This record gives sequence, structure tokens and C-alpha cells, in this order.
Amino acid sequence: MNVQFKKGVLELCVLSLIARRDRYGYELVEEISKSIEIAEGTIYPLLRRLTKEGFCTTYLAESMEGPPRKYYRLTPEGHEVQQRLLREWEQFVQGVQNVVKGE
Amino acid sequence: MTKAEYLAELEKRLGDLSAEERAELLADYEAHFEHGRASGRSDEEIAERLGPPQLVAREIQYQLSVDEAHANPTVRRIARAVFAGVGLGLMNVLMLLIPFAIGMLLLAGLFVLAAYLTVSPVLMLVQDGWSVEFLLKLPLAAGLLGLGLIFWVAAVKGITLFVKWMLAILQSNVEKVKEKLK
Repeated sequence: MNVQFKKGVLELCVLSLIARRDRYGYELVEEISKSIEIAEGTIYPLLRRLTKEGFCTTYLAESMEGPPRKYYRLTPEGHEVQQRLLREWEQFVQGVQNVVKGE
Repeated sequence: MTKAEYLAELEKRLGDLSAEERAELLADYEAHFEHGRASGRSDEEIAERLGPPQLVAREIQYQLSVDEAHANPTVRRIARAVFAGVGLGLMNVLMLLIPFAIGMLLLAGLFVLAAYLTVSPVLMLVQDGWSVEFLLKLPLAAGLLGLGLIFWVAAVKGITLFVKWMLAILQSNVEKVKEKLK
């Protein structure tokens, strides 16, 4: 698949997961890897960028098992971006459907 | 590849980053290994799934160069952005020049027409000379004058629209170059 395209989709996936509830990095990676084949290491630069752009904030929380978790929380701006990307994605899928089914 | 090996390789390849940024990122990957271990994975498996440190480092470097261009647009960085958009080069020229030429021609035509209509009563006078007949043609002359004035207004409006249109095209080009850079 086109790398740029996959990147955009990955951003939508990450934002959508955080939109439902706060997540920590490892959890996000696990969740996405279940459904999409990715180099898991590329999620962290993405998370860093999303944080830098102000789409999410981070906080540390101790956990019973394993090391402290760095949680990501979506900002209102992040919610807007998630909604926009979702619309773009749905339009794209619809467009492909139209072409493939010859409508 | 063990956790230590992976992190060492990654650190080596992130030499361009500030110490703070590098430490932050390495902490993310270190935590990732720890979480993986806690859920019963071997270092080998975790490293395999992360992808080669070379790839991860490249991804980070690339992200950094784009961030830089956005945050602090120097000539060198913008040049890099422009070169990233060089594939669009010919398209850009055509997309700007063709609308520009068409718009200019249309506007010029409109102005000439407006000018001609406005002065046409005077031209009639010059052509036919002053006579009672001219009085009969007065309504026609007034009509032409009015039409000319309407065209003037349209031409002036046209300039405003034209400028807006060109700006929109320029903006969309800038967006495209930005996209290319991403």
C-alpha cells in the first residue's frame, strides 16, 4: 500500500482510539496491530507529532503491572481533526465503492 | 536483537536530534520493551514487531525535517519544500498562467467595450455632425451611454473577482506543495 496513504490512515486510527478513551502507547500499538500490519515503531513518532501539534496531551500514570504508562488524551482540536479525517476517509471509501461497482 | 542492542542502534541513528528530544523518544521505546516483556514477549519478538531501528530512525528524522520547515521557514527549508514540490513544477506554471491570461483578456475586452459604448454618443456627433436628426437619436445615445456605464461597473467588479480567483489558485498551489513536503 502507498506509504503516505497508510500514514494518513494510521493517524485516523490513532486519533479514533484515543477519542474513545485515554490510551497509553503500548496499548495503542497492540490495538492497531491486531487489525493492521504496521512497523510498530512508527507509531511513536506519530504520537510525538500529534502531541506537538496540540491534538493530544500526555500524562504519566503508575500501574500495578509493568512500568509507568504514558497516557495520551485527545484535545478539542484533536477531536476536530479526528472528525475531519473520518469524513475524508468515508468519502474516499464511498468513492472507491462507486468506481469498483461501476455506479 | 535485545532491548539494549535495539536502543543503542536507535540512539546512534538519532544523532541529529537534541539531547532532550532523543532522550524522550528513547524512553518511549524503552517503555515499549518493558510493556512487551511484562506481557510475556521476548526482546527478539518485540524488536521484530517494532521494525528495524534504521527504519524507525528514518521515520523520526523525516518527521523532524517537516516540523522544522513548518515551525521556522528559512530560505533553505522553504527551498527544500519547493523542491519537494518540483514534481508539480510544470503544472504550477500552467495552472497560474492560463487562468491569468484568460482573465486578463476578458477584463481588457470588457474595458474596451465599456469605453467604446460610453463615448459612442460623442462619436455619433462627430460622425454625423450636429443636426435635428441627432435629437431624434438622443434616446439611443443615452441608452448606449447607460450600457457603457454598466459595463464599467462590471469590469471593475471583474477585477476584484479576478484578484480573488488568482489568490485562491495560488493558495491551492501552496497547499499542494505543503502536501508534497509532508
